[in-house]
Amino acid sequence: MPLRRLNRREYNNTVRDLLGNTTKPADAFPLDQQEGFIFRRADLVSLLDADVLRTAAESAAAAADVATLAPCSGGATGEEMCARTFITSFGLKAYRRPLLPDELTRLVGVYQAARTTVTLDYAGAIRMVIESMLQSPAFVYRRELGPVAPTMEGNVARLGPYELASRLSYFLWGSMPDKALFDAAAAGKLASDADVEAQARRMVADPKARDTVASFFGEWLNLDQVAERPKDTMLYPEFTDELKAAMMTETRDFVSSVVFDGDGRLETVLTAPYSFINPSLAKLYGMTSTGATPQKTNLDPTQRSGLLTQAGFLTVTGATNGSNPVKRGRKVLERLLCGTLPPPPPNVPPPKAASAGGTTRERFAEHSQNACALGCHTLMDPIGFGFENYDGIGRYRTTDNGKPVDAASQLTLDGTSQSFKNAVELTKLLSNSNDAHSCFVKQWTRFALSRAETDADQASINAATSFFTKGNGSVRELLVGVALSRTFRYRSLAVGEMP
Amino acid sequence: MNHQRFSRRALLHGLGASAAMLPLLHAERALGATTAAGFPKRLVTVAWTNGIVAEDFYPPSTTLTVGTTLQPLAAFVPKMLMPMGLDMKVVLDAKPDRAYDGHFSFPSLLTGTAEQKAEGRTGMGTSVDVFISNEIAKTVQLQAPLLNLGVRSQGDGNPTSWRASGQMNVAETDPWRLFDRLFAGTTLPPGQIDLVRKRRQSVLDYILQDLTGYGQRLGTEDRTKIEAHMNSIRELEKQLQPPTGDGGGSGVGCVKPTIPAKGTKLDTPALMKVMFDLAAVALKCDLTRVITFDLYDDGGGDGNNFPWLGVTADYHAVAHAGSAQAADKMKIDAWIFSQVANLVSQLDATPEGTGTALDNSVVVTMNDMDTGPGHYVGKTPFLLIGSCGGYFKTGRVVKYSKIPHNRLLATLCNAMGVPVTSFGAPGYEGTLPELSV
Repeated sequence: MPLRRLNRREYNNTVRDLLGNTTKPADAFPLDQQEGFIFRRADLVSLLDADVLRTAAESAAAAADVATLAPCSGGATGEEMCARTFITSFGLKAYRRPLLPDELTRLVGVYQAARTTVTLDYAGAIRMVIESMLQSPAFVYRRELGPVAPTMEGNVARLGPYELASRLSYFLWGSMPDKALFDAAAAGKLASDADVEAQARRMVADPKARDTVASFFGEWLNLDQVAERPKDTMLYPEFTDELKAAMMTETRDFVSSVVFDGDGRLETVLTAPYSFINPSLAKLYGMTSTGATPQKTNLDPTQRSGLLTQAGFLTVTGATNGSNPVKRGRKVLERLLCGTLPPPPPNVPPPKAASAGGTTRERFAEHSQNACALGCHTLMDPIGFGFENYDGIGRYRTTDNGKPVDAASQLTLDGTSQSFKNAVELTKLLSNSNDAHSCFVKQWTRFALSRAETDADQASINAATSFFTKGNGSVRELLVGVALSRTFRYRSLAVGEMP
Repeated sequence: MNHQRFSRRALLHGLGASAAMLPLLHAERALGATTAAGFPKRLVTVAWTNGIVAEDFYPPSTTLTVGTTLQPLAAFVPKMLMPMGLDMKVVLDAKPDRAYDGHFSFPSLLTGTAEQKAEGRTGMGTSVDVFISNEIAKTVQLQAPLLNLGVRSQGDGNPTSWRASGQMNVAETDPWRLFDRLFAGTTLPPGQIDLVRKRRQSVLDYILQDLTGYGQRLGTEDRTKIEAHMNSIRELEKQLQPPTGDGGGSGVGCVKPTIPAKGTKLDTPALMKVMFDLAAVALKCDLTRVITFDLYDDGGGDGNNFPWLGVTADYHAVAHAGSAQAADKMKIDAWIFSQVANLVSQLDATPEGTGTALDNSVVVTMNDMDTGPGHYVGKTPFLLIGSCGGYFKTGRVVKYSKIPHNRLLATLCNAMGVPVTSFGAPGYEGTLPELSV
């Protein structure tokens, strides 16, 4: 894994678990740089990043509970001893590995400078130490360079126990390891498959994994960007902040419920005829309201079938003023089936506006004929036509621009062309396809490693896929399978790296 | 009122700085890039995406006139200069072919470099804003030597400003943080400021040492990230030093602004206004002399529309529609230029010597492509407002054909008092002397 900085979510979770700080300071950070990658990640620290990291560190240190973190009853002479003890124990957690002797010495130096040059008292000096540690590369970056050189096995390095503990916790929790994981690392209990599997299962069962799974789905299909999608408010006056928030909550509630409270299966995520809706969503879905807070509600199974027929997906892939077969088809092709598209040619005229008459499908069909008939639209649009029963914010419809909707189409899955009548059938086809399942494993591997896969990862992806299959297609099993995969537990030595 | 002499003291009084803070400020000497009369020169770049409607943006003849797009700037025609026919040649020449890489050219606009990669997102050298502000910083310590500002959304492309190859400057989009950056020093008593400095200095020393050791254990590529991080820390260190500058300018209109309460949800027009207002104050008060603005980003501005203009379709879709939706496109462009006009008018309402702060500045607007349907990186639309202390001869159109935009970047350096004969990638040497005669 190339050097990665804690992204916004990871930073928030880490200061929560390290300091009990629940203020989510990283919500104020600049947006994570994705550089064309699907999932949120961050690496280079620009000036602005350094500035906000400092501000966050200063506030977190100021709010830290020193009496609990670094209790000291030794009087003036014992205080430096207390500080030393604190630095050692807190350092292990903050840096996710034991401190190097030189780090301890220099952090004690920070404490001394705080007492003398900056004239702070004991608590103030402890805060200044915390402030320094929270800006250290050892805290900021997810690369736990411990005192021990990596163990080479052939041309790859096996992660050390603390490195693996950290990789597990940031993958499954988006946060630092807990005490049990640190203890396992210290006791050499993260070496065997059985050890890793036991930790992974424990961690998947922890409530912190729910947020990770919800975040994965949000990033994977951009479902967390509902609020950033502009819509024509003349056409969709109900698309208010409240409804946008309800859509994002629906996604999170639904996927965590299926994955953690239900059978856990991807197939269920893609086809469940129920969801979690509040009154404004109920209205959008044509249901009667069931209560002020989101309730598990059975939806019309002829209209709704899983995540792709829920309002969030249909909104982020919809146009500002209607459906958008290209965007919807593209999202399914690229994100669910891991298909790739050639770059668009220049000077593509857009599809005609609704005012030109005809259904969306008719206008887009004409567009794909004109623009790049065989290159790309034949890959995207036929899939997207399956969602023609939903308008730009996911409301079900049977007519479009005054004419009946035609959502029947076909796509190639697992090497054969398959037909479907509408999105309900399309999602059933997807949920049973090997293509969708192996792509899903690939996406989780990307998420776990925070990088695109290479040829060298294929064996690990295959291994995780069979774990997933053996586990009856359960997402929980898949997470364990990814954690057990070789690529997750090893890393290549970077060019120029001294082992 | 005598506006002949610029006094940083007067400015800081205008900002409400306590008198006790003033001893931190050094001798009142004219430093940095200044006009003959001793006023500071300033450079502002404003970049956005999706091109312009060429038939409307460019005047029909060689006389500079404004159409719908530039209507908000109509009053400033005598102070405007339009160089036509500049290409982002460095991108056009890139391999593989990047001629239509309009959404990926922000990193080339101010660096005059291009990554040799389709849809490359990396600036391959120092951008002109960084280069000029570094030169200014050699003689004058400003509160913010460089301000990189922007309006961004998740998934947008990379910025126009690059400290060095591969080292982007992330744009500040938070008006409250910007406000604190500009005005924080005006509220703390000096004793406390001194302790904060000492504290931060100790912490930064520790981080720099840590980064050094950490970097040594990484591979080559990761090590460059750590070097970038170290450069950022060194910049923070420089900012700990008290401002020393005293360039020139009157301080008229240098009043600490009132901005909406922290956390207020700002819609796009409100956010644009507060960001441009803060930029205007920062320039008038000589807190900074170089600003970049990345508005609607590389990447197409997907996910933006303009309901307050009655344009509810997606910005990117409107741009692609070309002539079919040209009226909407021009409405959008004119609105963005009205944001620029807000900054320009505030500068022009600030007397400096015999002219105004605008006369001592140059505001350069630019786009990452030619037109919406084309996405072509040649014939990039540039517009200069302000003569930068008389360096530019304004009120004109100057026609070029297939001239690399690197020459404009080199010319901006010269206008700002930093003499160069070229800027950016090798092979694109030269300046645009025609803009001055």
